[in-house]
Amino acid sequence: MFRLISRHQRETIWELAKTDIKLRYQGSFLGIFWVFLKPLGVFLVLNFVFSTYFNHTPNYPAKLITGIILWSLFADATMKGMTSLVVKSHILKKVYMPKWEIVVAAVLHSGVVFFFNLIILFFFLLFYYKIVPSPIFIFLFFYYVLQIYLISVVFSFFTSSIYARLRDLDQVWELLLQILFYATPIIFPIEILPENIRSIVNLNPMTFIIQRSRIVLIDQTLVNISYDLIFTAILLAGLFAGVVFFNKNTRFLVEKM
Amino acid sequence: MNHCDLSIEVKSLSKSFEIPHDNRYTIKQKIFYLTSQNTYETYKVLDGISFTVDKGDFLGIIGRNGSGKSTLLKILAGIYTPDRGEVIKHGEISPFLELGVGFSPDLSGRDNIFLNGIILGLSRKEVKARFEEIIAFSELEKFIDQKLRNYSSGMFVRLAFSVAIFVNKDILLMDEVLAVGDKYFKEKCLNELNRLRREGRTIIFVSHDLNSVKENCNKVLLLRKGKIAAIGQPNEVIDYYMNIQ
Repeated sequence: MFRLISRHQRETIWELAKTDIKLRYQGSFLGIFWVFLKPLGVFLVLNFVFSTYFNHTPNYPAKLITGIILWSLFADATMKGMTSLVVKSHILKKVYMPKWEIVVAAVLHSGVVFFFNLIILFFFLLFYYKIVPSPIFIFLFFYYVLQIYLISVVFSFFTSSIYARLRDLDQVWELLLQILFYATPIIFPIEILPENIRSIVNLNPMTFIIQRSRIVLIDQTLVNISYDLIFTAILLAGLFAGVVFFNKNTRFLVEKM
Repeated sequence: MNHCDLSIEVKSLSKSFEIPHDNRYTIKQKIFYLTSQNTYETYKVLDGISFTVDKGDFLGIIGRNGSGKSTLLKILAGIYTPDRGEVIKHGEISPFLELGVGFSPDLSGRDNIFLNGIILGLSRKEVKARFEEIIAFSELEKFIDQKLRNYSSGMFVRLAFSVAIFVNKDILLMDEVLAVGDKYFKEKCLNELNRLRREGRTIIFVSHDLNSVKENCNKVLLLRKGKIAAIGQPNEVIDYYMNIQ
């Protein structure tokens, strides 16, 4: 599918994302620093509360902040992607623009914000924990980040057209995100769960990604990539299905908005 | 008719809109109405429209409110999908269905030029190359780095039109965009449009300003209740339109 993205389409997506980023932090007092503060704030509170309780887990704080930042990307990107068509409806009603560009631009926007967060993460790892991942592990980490992007895009392709017709879907998702946050081993290590519950939690794709990101970035151990390849293959199949679904359901979307 | 003289061919275009009787936009409403099928009011906005536009034409589309003009333009622009029929375009379209699409009041004039230019189809390189010309045409050099929310409505329209006019596509679609703006601005715009026309571009223009249409268009199409009531010479069609009121 990426062969089909023309230069102009890439430029449009990037320009839309750039505009949204500028607007997002425009009027606020601290501006771009809000990008750092939110996950950092969440981390500080949770770390303060739970670090002694989970101190048998090596590098608990580093794992905690990794989980929080990756989760923020997922939450932000899926929410922004889902609502993108409606938020940008004023453009869609006046100019021809392929609708998928708007969805991808929204996910990209969240991605850029995520990269700013990554800066604190890396500072943290480097200076506080003296963890310096070697290039191969950094590469693998970014592979997992890419998987989150992909999940978010697939999710958005399915939900964006539904959201246009079912306007409280965002609130439903907001609630589900809250629940899923606690159903993912971000705050707690997965080991504390009994076996039967552990297998349910493992079904959560974010569990897979966050766990493996931690292994790669913090424990710096190599993993069996066959699982990753299967995961990516499933995602690509999902992407294909998402595109088909999206095209079918957005055909007369503008007329109904 | 030589194939390469054609700009747009519209064939048997039909479009209906269905307005639901009940609002079922939330999950609560969907559950509430779960057992009943929603009923719809169907409005046939365009009914079997066929016409051709030649290269270099300045086509005016007139008609009463609700006659289907905007819907026709939106289909030509690719915003709506027709129910039946087809549109064959020989060239790229630049839609001015509204000036300043994507303009954000919180961004500067400069940033807005970029965004708007790209949305309208220019590449980033092209926007950069035409940047100075766009600013010069708008006569807003002093204000270009100020936020758009500080612009007056006239300034807004000048900026928006300046970007749009430099998007040099073969076919321009305009939906009553000259309604705002003072006389000086209107003249400037029409001069630009005529210049573009001399370069071989096609302009399709929806307006209620019959004088503008008479003065500038070489062909006029009158829409009435979704069908073509008349198409031909401006004077004839406009007189016909006045008479059937």
